Amino acid sequence: MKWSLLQHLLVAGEVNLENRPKRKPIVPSGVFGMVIFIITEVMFFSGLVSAYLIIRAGLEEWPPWGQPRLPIESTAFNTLLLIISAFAVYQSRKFLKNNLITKASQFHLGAILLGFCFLVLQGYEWVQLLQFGMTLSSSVYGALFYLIIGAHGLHVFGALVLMTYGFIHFKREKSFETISSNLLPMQILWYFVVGIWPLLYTLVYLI
Amino acid sequence: MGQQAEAILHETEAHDAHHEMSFWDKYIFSVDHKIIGFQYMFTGLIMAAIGGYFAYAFRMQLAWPGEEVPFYGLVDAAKYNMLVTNHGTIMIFWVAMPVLIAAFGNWLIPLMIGCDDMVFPRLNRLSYQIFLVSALVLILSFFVTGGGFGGAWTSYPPLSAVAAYNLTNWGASLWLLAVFLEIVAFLLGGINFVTTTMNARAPGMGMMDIPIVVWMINIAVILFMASVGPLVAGAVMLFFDQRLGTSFFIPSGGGDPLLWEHLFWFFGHPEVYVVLLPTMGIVAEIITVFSRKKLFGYRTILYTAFGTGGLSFIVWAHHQFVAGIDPRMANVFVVTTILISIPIAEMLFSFIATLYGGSIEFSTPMLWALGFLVSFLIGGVTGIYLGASALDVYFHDSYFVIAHFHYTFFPITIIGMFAAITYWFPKMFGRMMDETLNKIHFWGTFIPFNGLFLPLFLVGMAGQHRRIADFTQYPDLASPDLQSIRIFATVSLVILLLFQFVFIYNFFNSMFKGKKAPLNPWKANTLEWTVSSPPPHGNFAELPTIYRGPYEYSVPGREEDYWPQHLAPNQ
Amino acid sequence: MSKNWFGELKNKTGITVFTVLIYFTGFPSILKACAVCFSGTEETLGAFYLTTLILIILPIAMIVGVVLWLYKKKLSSLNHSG
Ligand code: HEM
Ligand SMILES: [Cu+2]
Repeated sequence: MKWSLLQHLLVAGEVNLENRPKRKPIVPSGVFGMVIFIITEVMFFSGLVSAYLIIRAGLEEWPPWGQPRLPIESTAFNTLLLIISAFAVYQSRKFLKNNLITKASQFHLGAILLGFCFLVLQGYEWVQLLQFGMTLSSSVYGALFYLIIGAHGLHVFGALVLMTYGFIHFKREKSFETISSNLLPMQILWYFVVGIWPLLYTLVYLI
Repeated sequence: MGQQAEAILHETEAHDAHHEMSFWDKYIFSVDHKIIGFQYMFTGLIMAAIGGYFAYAFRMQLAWPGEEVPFYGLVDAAKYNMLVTNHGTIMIFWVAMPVLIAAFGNWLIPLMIGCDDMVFPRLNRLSYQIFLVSALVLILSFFVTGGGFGGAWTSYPPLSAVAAYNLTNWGASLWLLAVFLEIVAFLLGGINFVTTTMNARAPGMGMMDIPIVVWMINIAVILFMASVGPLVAGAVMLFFDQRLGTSFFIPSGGGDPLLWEHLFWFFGHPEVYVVLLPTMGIVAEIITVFSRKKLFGYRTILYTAFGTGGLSFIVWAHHQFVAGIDPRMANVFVVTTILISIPIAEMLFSFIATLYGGSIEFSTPMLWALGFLVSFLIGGVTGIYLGASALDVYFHDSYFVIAHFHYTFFPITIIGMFAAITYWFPKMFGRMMDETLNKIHFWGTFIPFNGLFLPLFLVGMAGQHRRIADFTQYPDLASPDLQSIRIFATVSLVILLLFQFVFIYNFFNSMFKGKKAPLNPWKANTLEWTVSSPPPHGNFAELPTIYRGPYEYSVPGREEDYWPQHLAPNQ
Repeated sequence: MSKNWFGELKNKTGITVFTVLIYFTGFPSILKACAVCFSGTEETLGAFYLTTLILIILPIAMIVGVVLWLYKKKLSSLNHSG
């Protein structure tokens, strides 16, 4: 087939897009898209939680015989780290509002580091549990643990990558307002990731 | 997950203007919403051909069991299972969703609400690319050792979870992976649609000036986004069961097979409304234009759609009436299931009221739309029988269910798709389709469709169970009467498929050689008819301003019987 | 309660619907007769009830929440611009 035939087939020409009036949406597109994405994520986790509740209700012994208990205390400390990092993000936004960009970037970085510590400690915990003989296939108990906590861990990791990437916004010469609005979607994601953790911790570790 | 969000962040920055582009940039890696819409549409149509071919193969086997099927070969029991499974999966996930939602959503939303492109164009492109990969993975799964997955599109464990049971070790996993990727693709697309509709409407377009079809696609997308999470969770768990030795769904290892049904149908029922609503929107557009009357009850239709959406989250257990759920719970779901037919019926009444007293023009899109109303009615009404759990104990997993959902899905997917293609063809390609061939195609599809599925109600009531490759093995089902009904249905299907060649010929012939289309051939009000056909990159030479709703037809005191949305009141 | 015919009718309908619902949902526990439920314990049934409730309420609540949030934002933005 000749390209010339196709040239004007599906799309004809183009339009000059300069001088378009700027829209002022009530919620910025990035934030709105992220909120919709988080609705899906909440449903994803509620699917996992449903699975946990139903499978657990069907078993008489929990944890099953021969499976280790979960380290409640060290994970409580870990939970604390995550919550502090959310506060750091909150502080960072506050500083940005007051136009203190260096302070804001420091707190942003702090949040990232705390999140990173959380991941490392989790990884250490997993290594120990594996040594105690708790694997994916050793029982549904182990499988559910690695599934739910692992899914959350992956989300933490993804959000951390985003936050690290978002750090460059501080380096570019921009108004603090642009920085703030560019960072907002990933910070919302971070709040979500932090916010859902206490629920999962209570569900999987405590009760 | 991170990547999606990252893409969102990227897209907030404006994208640069397009210049002279190579073929690849223009048609393959384009970020233009119209091209992405076309990509979805053509991929969907190719998948529809594959799905139809599968249907042909297994219907031939049912009519003449054990005989070699021309153009396919022998269909044994394992192949039969693989064919029905993938037929269902393809038609729902790779035809209905990409064509009705992704293709028309992409193509229509920016044009109908008056903006240059989607809010996140690169996210949009990524969405199609993932979708394409998912389709390729599915096709690949037909060719691995053991063949394609054969555990039904609902994929119930333990059958689907244990390779020793389903005998399709890799087919099952690839099938699951393909469905997973497809869902991710639609999540990206869906975020885009809703955000675009929310934030990029032309100046003056209020919530109640949005064309119904855009509303419907958005409601469908929101339903999809809010219901798909548990299915993704279930799919991951099933994948673990298949590949990593867990036993989430395997009773011997402490799992619970009912859990899968719980998670699957929580998504599964909203899903049927996800595909239904866009077609309802398409039909609403077509019916108003060709009866030259204001749409009856714009707000009513909208509110019934909201109602349907809300209710669709609380009916799913009607698929499990005989699966062992608590009967007290079953009864709650009987009530909600029967409740949900009320808003749907109300929507149909609105359409009929729009037709009433209009000056109806029987063009091809209108024929498709009317055909949709008639046949979907049968599908909805038979759903009410199934919704009564006492009746469902008999009807469940029989051909009555098959006939029920084909009387809903065929009108929605195939009829709705043809309605939309014939209606928007002049805008998409700048040329008119041949009316005579179009009408031949319509009757050649509509009549055999009824010839195919009406008899299935009968065999279903006679007790014919679904997912059986050869009924002649069962004395009660082998009677010559039943067999002749099966043959009748199969012959209808073959006729139906043959008539699709008329469409294919007409489609490509009109695309290159059809009569040049005027700007607004149907004299419609919505914005997409104001741009040149096919629309240029960036769509509108000048951003339109909206002065009224989309359905002002036959307004008294006006010379023309239509009043486009963008004309100032004094024009 | 109003005494006009419309008010009374509405009330009657409400009572009928309520009774029918109770009737429907309360009675059939005796019909628990399928092959799969024998192994189901009360706890599993309870878990299914609970998760059904969670899955029903969450999406509807979130969507309604987002719509209300948008509505409030819209109202306040209208107030700001006058
Ligand atoms: C209008 C009200 C509707 C009602 C009351 C209804 C009711 C039902 C019920 C109770 C079943 C389960 C039957 C069984 O497996 O024993 C069923 C199956 C099904 N329905 Fe509907 N339905 C309705 C509309 C729809 C629509 C609009 C669609 C499609 C877009 C649809 C698609 C399906 C499918 C695909 C199945 C079979 C799933 C399977 O087992 O493979 N239904 N319907
Ligand atoms: Cu259903």
